[in-house]
Amino acid sequence: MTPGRFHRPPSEVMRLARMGASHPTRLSFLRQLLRRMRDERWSYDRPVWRLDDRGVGVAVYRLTGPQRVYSLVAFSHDLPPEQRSDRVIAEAWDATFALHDGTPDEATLARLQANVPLQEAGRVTGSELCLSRANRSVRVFERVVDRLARGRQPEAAELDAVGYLMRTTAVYGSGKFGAADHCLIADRAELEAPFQAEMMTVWLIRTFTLDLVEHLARARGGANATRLAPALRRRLGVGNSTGLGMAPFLVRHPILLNNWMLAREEALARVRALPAVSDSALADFRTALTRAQANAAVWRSEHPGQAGRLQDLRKDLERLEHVVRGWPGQRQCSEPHPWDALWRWGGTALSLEGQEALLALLLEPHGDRVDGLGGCMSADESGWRAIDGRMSVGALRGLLERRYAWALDIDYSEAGEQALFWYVSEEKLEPRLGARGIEPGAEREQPLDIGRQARWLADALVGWKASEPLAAFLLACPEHRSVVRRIQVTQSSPYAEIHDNLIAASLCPIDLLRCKLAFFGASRFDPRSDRWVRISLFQDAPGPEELCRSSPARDPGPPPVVSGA
Amino acid sequence: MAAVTLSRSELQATVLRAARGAGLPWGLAEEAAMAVLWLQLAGLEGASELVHDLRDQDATDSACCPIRLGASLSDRCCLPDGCFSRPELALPTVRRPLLLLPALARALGAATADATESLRLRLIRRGVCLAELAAGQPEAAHRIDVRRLRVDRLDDLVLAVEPAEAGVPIGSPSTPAPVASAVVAALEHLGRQTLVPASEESRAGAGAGLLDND
Repeated sequence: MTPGRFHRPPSEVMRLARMGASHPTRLSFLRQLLRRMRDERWSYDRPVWRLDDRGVGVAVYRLTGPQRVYSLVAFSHDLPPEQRSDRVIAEAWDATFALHDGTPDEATLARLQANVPLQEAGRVTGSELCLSRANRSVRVFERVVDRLARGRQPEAAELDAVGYLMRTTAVYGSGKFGAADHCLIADRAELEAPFQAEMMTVWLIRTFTLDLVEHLARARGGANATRLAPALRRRLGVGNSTGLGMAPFLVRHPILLNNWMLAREEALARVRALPAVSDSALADFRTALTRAQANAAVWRSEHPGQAGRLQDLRKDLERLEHVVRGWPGQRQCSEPHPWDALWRWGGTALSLEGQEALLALLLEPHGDRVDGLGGCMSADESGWRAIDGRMSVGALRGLLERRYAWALDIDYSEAGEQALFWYVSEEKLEPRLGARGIEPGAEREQPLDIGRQARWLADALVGWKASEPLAAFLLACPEHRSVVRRIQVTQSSPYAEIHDNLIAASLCPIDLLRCKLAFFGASRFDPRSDRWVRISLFQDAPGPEELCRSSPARDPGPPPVVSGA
Repeated sequence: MAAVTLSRSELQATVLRAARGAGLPWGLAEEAAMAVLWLQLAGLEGASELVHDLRDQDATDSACCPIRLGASLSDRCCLPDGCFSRPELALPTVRRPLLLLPALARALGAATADATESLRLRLIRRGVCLAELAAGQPEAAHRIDVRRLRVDRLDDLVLAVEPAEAGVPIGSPSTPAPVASAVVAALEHLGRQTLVPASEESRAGAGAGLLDND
C-alpha cells in the first residue's frame, strides 16, 4: 500500500503520546472474535461444572466452531485472605485457567489440575493455547454474591464503579510454559487474527466469573437466591492488571505493530476518502458517539495524567456532538469528502485523546468498508530472518536517513536521553525499567533502545565506503548485527518503529501498554502509576449465551444481532 | 535422562539469553538461537552442542566459533565471491561443527531462492561426506552424520555445491526435540548473566507494594 493523502504519516502516528491515547476500534481483536463467532454461528456449552459450596472445583466451557472445538478449563480455588498479597509476587489465585485445544477428557483434566493452578511453576502442552489466572475484585464480588443470595440484584452503579468481578493478572499465550506456539496454529482461520486464543480465554473467563457468583449465591441463599439480571451481566467485563511485562512486546514485534497500525490507518483513510455521508452512516455515527459519551461518563481514573485527559475527552465528545448535531449541513455537503472535513476539524479542535476517539467513531458506521482489514493484522515473527549481506553500506545509510531521522536527531550524550535502561528481572524473568547510574544492572541492558542503536550504527558506518557490502561491515562490527537485521526486516513497513526514545527520562511506559491494550479492545484504561494499568475487557459485550447457539445439537435459529460487535 | 519439551519460543528465548549471557553480541545470540531451533526441529541435539561451545570454549583456541562462521558464510552467500560461487570452498577449523549446519542450509536457501535448478550442499572431510543438506527448512530431507559432527572441533572441512535432484520433499512443521534437563539447566545458568536481581525500586515501579485486592 502506498500512503495517500488521507493516510497519516508515521511521524504523526508513531509518537508515544498519540499511541498512549489509543481507543479500541471495530478492528480490535476482541471485536473481530465476536464478529466471527456470530457470523459463523459458533455454539457454546458448559459440559463440566463440579464446584462445591465454597466454589472450589473445576468447570469446562466449550466453544464449537465450524472446524474445531476450544475449551476453557477453569479451576476455582478458595484463597485465604493472607494469600491475597502483592500483585507481583503472588503465587496463588482465586481461579486459574487453561484454554485447551479440543474437548478435554478426564485424563487431560487431571493433567491440567496438576499444573494449571501452579501457573508459571507448572507445565502445559501443545494441546493448550493459553494459561491464565484471575483474582476476585473482593469488594464487588462479595457484594454481588450477598445480594443475589438474598434474592436481590446489585445496584448498577456499584457494578459500574469497578466494572468486573475478577481481574486477570496474566494471560499467557503462544508457546508460554509449554503451550502451542502460535506459528503451529496460525493457519486456522479462527486464530489468524492476532490474540484470538487469548481473547477467547478472557471471554470465557468472564462467563465463569458470572456463573461463579450465581453458584455461590445459591449455596448461601438456597431457594431465596436469584440469578444476575441479563442487563447487569452485560455490564460486567473482565478486569486486567498489566505492567511493564507487556511493554517491550510492541518493540520486539515491529512487523506486527506495523500491520496493526497500517490496518487501522488504512481504515481511517478509507472513511476520510468517502465522497458523501449516507443517512444510515450518520445515524450509526451518532449512536456510536452517544455510546462513547456514556462510556466516558463512567470511565474513572485517579491517575493525575489520565484524570485530566478524561476531562478533555468528555469535553471533546461534547464538542463533537455539537458539531455533528446539524450535520452534514449545506457547508459540509459541499465538501468533496465530508468525513475528512470532520476529521481535519478534529485535528485542530480536539485533544489527542479526543482525536483518537474520533478515529474509532469514524470506523464504527463503516464495517463493510473496513472490517476486511482485520485479516491483514497478523505477522509471523517467530525467529529471526537472515541478513542480506549484499546490501551496501550506502543503501543502509540511506535507510537510516529516511526511516530513522527521528532517532538520529536525538543527542544521546544528554543525561536525560538515556536515563533509563530496560532489563529482565532475575526474580520473575520479566521486563523492568531501571534508572541508569542509580540502580544496578545497566551492563545487562536489553536492546530496546532502538533509537540509540540506530545512532550508534550510523556512527560506526562513518569511514566505510558506500559500495562496501554489509557482509564486510558485519564481520568487522558484529555488535551492530541485531539492529541491521531490524532495519532490513522493517524496510517496507512504514509503521514498524515507535518514533520516540524508549530510554529517555520522559518515557511514560503506560503509553506502550495503552496502545497494545486498545488493539486488544480494552476499555476503561485506568493507570495506577506510570508503569501499570488496569483495564476492562468485554465490558458491555454479549456473552456466549447471547451470541452463540446454546448447544451444537439444537436448531440454531437466526444469529443474534450484536450491537457491540 | 530426564528431558523437557520446550515450545519453539521457549527454546529460542532460553538460547538467546544463554548466548548473550556467554558474551555474544545480541545479533549473534539471535543466530545461535536460530541454529539451535533448526537443529532441535531436525531432531538433533543442538542445545547440547551450544552449551558445550559456550561453556567450554578456550579463549586461546584459534578455531572459529561456529555461530560467527555460519553468520559470515550466510551474509556472503549471495555475493559474487560467496560460498556458492565456486564448486568447493575450504573452511577454517571450526568448533562444534554441527552448529554450522543451520546457517549453511539457510544460506543455500537464500542463494537458490530465485534459481531454477536446485542445489545440494555437502560438507566433506578428507573424502568423507559428513553432511548433505537441502535448502532451508530443518524438516527437509537432510543427511547428517551426527556422530562425526558432534566433536570439539574439525579441521580440513570443505564445502561442495552440486545440482540436486529436483523436488526435495519438505516435512510438515514440527515441534523441537526434547532437551535434556541438564542442558536446559546449563542454558539457564548461562542466561542468568543477562538478568538483574530485583531491587526495591524496581518492584515498586512495576506495581508491587500495592494490594491488587480492592
